[in-house]
Amino acid sequence: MKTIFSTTSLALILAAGGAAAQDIPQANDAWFTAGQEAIQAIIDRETNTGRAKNVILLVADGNGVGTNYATRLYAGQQQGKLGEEHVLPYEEPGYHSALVKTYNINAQTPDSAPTAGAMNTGVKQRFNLINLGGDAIHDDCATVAGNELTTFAEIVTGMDKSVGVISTARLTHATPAGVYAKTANRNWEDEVPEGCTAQKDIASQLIDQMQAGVVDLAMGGGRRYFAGTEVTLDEGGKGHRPDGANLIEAATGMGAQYAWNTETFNGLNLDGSAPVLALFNDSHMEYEADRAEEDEPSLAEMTKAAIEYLSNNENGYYLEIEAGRVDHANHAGNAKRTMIDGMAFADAVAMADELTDDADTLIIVTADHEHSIAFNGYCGRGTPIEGLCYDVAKTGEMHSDDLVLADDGKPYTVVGYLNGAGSVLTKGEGENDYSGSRPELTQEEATDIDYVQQALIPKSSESHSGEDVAVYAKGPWAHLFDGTIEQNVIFHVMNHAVTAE
Amino acid sequence: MPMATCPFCETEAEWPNDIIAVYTKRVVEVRPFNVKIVTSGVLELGAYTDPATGFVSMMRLVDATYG
Ligand SMILES: [Zn+2]
Repeated sequence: MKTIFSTTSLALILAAGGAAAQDIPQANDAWFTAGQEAIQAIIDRETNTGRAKNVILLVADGNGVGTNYATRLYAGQQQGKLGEEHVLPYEEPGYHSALVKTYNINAQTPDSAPTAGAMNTGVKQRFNLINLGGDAIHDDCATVAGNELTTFAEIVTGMDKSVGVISTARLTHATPAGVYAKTANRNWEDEVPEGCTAQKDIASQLIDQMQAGVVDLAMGGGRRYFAGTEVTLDEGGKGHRPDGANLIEAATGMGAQYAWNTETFNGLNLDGSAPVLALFNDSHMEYEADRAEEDEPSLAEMTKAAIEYLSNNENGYYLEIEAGRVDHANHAGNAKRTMIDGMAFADAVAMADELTDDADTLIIVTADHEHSIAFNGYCGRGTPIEGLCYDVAKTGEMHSDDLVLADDGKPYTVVGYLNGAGSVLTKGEGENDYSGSRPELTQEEATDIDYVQQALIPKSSESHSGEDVAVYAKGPWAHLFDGTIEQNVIFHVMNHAVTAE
Repeated sequence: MPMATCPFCETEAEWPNDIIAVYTKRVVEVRPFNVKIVTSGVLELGAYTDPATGFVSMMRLVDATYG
């Protein structure tokens, strides 16, 4: 390669560049000055190479780059903005970021069990297993012994830190279980197959880890997996455990505090002297869109309580926070509830950031996997992201009042899914006789909270996808997040940050 | 909203909390789950156990027709 430059020509190029930035006609345009400010914010970013006392890992389940895009616009539009220009709390310039490859050892399309495990152990895992090495086989209890991995929670417990786990899903669900459980099947939430003695069910493992002093605080849903089938639970439902064990009593018996609704949540002693077990629903906690304040706390409120509790340990803490139901609303093909739970997640991130010091706390914001969500065009600025696509206007910024029509003469929503319950193909007379046409749709129907987006392939449950997710981070060693990384690298940044000299 | 669960996320289907039992006037001709139907009938409130199926409902639509 020819690399010889004369110094004069180099100087000329630089001079020309300098002159252009000051004199070009767009120099005073708001986009231009905002762009200049944006690079200045990146230049001003501090590189923190101190040791992290605390690590907070926030995971919105199923919140890939596409789903997160929907939430960004929805959150902005709720504030009266057009939406596209909105910045979610973790999209601020104080955060470093990278793209994350989420596949599992044996799955192109990941599930939440091995992805949570990868973040909590530093190695990729097999589909539907949690925190077992690559030689373990799904649903095979005989492959558990000898394949158990050491978790980040166990590592930091050895450093005398506290550990907390919060989820709006069941506490026995994959992402929270990634903090404390080792299982050959993510569905062994409250029982293991007959004859399986190498591991306990996931709920039992949580209580064991509380007893062992690994997990200090656990808040979420899944109450029925902690009590026997004969037990009537706090809200009138029945327990689900076939072995009849009452793990809630076991926890309180060893000195843990128990909360099951907003009132008992508000009554928790957060001075760090007694462990906390909170189970706010028999199964998952409610979608944020359906949550009643007097029934259950929000994800941000749980985050606040957990940080207050864990901050009592002068050696620091590890806290994993999951917005578990972004994933569930995506599975339902219901974009609006997805975005509202995504907003609740963003509020939790803002809360965690507000209550901690960037100097000693590494905050990581990510997702475990994406969904088969996709976006239609060409819509004008400010088109309601949960509704029908409006045409681009010739003047101004706002969209025109004309709906964009497809070749079938019908409007369509911005958000769609490649598969799911909203399939436009319906079953005909024959076994495989699926055909269809898109139904007529009004803006009122499309923006309804229960609206299920149109999808292509008929499936009773929309699927995950293997597409990348993003990771955003601030605090000690957050700058290590850069480029496109494997998901298990997230563990290594956490581990490096808590051990850095 | 049609019921949808994650096949790899759920040990069993969750019972939806916005469900209502509908007893139709005539025998139902099965329609695909993703086709919307509009139904109307008489709203009945109060606990009722279906003698044939044992299904308990607190609220139901009876004598219903749909199109
Ligand atoms: Zn899922």
